[in-house]
Amino acid sequence: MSSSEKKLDPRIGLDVGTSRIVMARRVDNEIEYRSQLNAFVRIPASPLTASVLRKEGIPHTIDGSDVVIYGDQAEKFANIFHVETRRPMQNGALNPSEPDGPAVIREIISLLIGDQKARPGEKMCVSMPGSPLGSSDDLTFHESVVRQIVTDFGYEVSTINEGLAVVYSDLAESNYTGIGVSCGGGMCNVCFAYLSVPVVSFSISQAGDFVDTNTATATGEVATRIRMFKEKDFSFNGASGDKIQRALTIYYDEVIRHLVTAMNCAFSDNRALPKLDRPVPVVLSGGSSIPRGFRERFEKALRQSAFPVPVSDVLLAADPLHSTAKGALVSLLAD
Amino acid sequence: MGSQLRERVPPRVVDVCASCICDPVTRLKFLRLAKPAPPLPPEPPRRPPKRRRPAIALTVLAAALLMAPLGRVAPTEAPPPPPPVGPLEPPQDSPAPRVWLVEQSNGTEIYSNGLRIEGGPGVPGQPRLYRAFDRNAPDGSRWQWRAEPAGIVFHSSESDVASFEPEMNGILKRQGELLLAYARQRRCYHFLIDRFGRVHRVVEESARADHAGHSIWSDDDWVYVNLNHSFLGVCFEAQTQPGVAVSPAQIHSARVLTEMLRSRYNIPARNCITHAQVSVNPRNFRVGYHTDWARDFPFAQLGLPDNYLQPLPSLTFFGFDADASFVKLAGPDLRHAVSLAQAQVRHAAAGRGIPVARYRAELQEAYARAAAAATNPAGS
Repeated sequence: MSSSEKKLDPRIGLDVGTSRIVMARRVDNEIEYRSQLNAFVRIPASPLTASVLRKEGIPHTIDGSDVVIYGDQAEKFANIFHVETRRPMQNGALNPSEPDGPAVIREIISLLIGDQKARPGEKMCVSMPGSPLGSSDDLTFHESVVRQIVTDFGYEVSTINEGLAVVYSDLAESNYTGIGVSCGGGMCNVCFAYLSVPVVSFSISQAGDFVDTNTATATGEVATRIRMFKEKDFSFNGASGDKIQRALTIYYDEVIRHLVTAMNCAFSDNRALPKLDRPVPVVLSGGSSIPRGFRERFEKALRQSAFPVPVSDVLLAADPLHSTAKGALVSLLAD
Repeated sequence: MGSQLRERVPPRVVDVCASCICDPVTRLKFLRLAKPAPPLPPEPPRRPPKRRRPAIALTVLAAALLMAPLGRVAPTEAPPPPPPVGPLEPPQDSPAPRVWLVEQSNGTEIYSNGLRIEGGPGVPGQPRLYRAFDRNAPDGSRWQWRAEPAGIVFHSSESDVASFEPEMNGILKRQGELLLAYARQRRCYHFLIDRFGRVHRVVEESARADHAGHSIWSDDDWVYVNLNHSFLGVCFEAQTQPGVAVSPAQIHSARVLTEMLRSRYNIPARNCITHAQVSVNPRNFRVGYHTDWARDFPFAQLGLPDNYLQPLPSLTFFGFDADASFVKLAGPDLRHAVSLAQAQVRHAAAGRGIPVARYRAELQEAYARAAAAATNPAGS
């Protein structure tokens, strides 16, 4: 069957994360994912540069005397030019020091979904971070801008809490009862759902970027290189002589400690918690949950704390990089 | 049905029923039907068996209905495609269809899209001449003269309206006649659409009408201040209190009238908005001095995008704000637009590194300059 004959469901789940933007849609009853790095680099423009980029099919825009390269290719060019990639988002929301951020996000989404306008009635569900725990940071602006970007493509937009999306993606077996934890680049999002109904949700702004930045500072490396090492080679394997490995372990442990403390705080103080007749599962997802040993370390920390909700299993999502986008899509399919 | 289930069925029953559904999407659909929104209370409500049984039966029936297709199709059966969109819901920013005058006789105009306007040329008034301010310098320092309308403001008369019943016909007619006479005397609008959907010309199109008062709007390039000159006023004979709807005839007439005006003056869809969106009070710098059509305006049925979602330029350009009473009155989309505009103001102030109050004060000074220029259209 050629790709043109495939049955394409127009509904789309979109995870707009600090680190990556992921799209999920159903093709022939299978879920297809596409993702791009949510980053860009600016390099000086010349007629030759523009022509080469065009020929090579590298996504870019020309902005005055600069070429803006975005998505996955941004990282390669950052390495070539020895610069840091720039990030449209920071700590789970739009980066206020990057005025070009919304325009870059728009280009990346266009790269993922194609630049043709949606037909009337076509829907997209976009993940949104939960309210930051113990902080007055307001996410209204972020949500409104992201909504507007997607609306401009012609879609009817709905949103879903990122932690709830993880529940919808991976906790069907428990009738969508349990705790979804998305450990991304800028934030960790947590949602406790009971029979699909979100009961408690929140976010903390310590996650992968926190680990990368602090490890980079401690080791004298650039954060981009730390991230690449972390995604390819890092695992929690106990004592190690390697400086980067040791620093990553220390800052990962810090994130886990902060996350478990926040969960204890949010769940101890919530009167809306239902009376549970059985323990509930916890599912971990997101790029920061991938390193080998993360799940075990998190489970140990959670069980050693006085967590008020009885927990059955602590699981790693089946597809941690895609579970938020999948959950957004599942939410749309169930409408 | 969902709310009935939520009130009556113990969660354990819902849980058991859901476990019988294999397809995860269908299972989620069922759970949402049974438990659509609020979190559960600490203890499931205890109810006498008499009341519980029908509810449990209802849940099982719902589960059975949801499971039924699974026997006939694959477990990963796709939910049905989105419902077809009706002809009254065009894509956003669609251009207005071309509409032309077919004939004109005895004070009545007939247009190619079926629009019929009564009332002759309308009451004469002060010729339209206004300044459109450059969006990048809305303080009145850069502008251009305009004599063509830039948009349409929709109003409701908020006058006495009798029940729309055949036996009230005489009163309905009389109320419409009185309103039209009043509107012509006061030059209130350019067009009035009565309860039967008849379109009356009130003030001639080339003149200003006193319909918008202190008001602000903007599009992609220009900012408009005090819209009596710059925008046409179209009034529905109606009250916009919740539950009182305009008649289908009025909606049809408003649609064909909007098409004609957009075609004639090349008006962008985003400049067709309601009085509540534009009205401001410069004395206290609050929006919503007039609140007609603060919610439920039938944009889609008039062939327009949901313009309630546009951030209010009165907040972002000129430092106005919305108070609780306006927010309470506004529909969800307009509330969203208000919060978007408020967030933009906060963000802009943060970008400048100054407190929001100081940033607003600067914007308010810009408004004073723009308003002084806008209300002096004959000046140089």
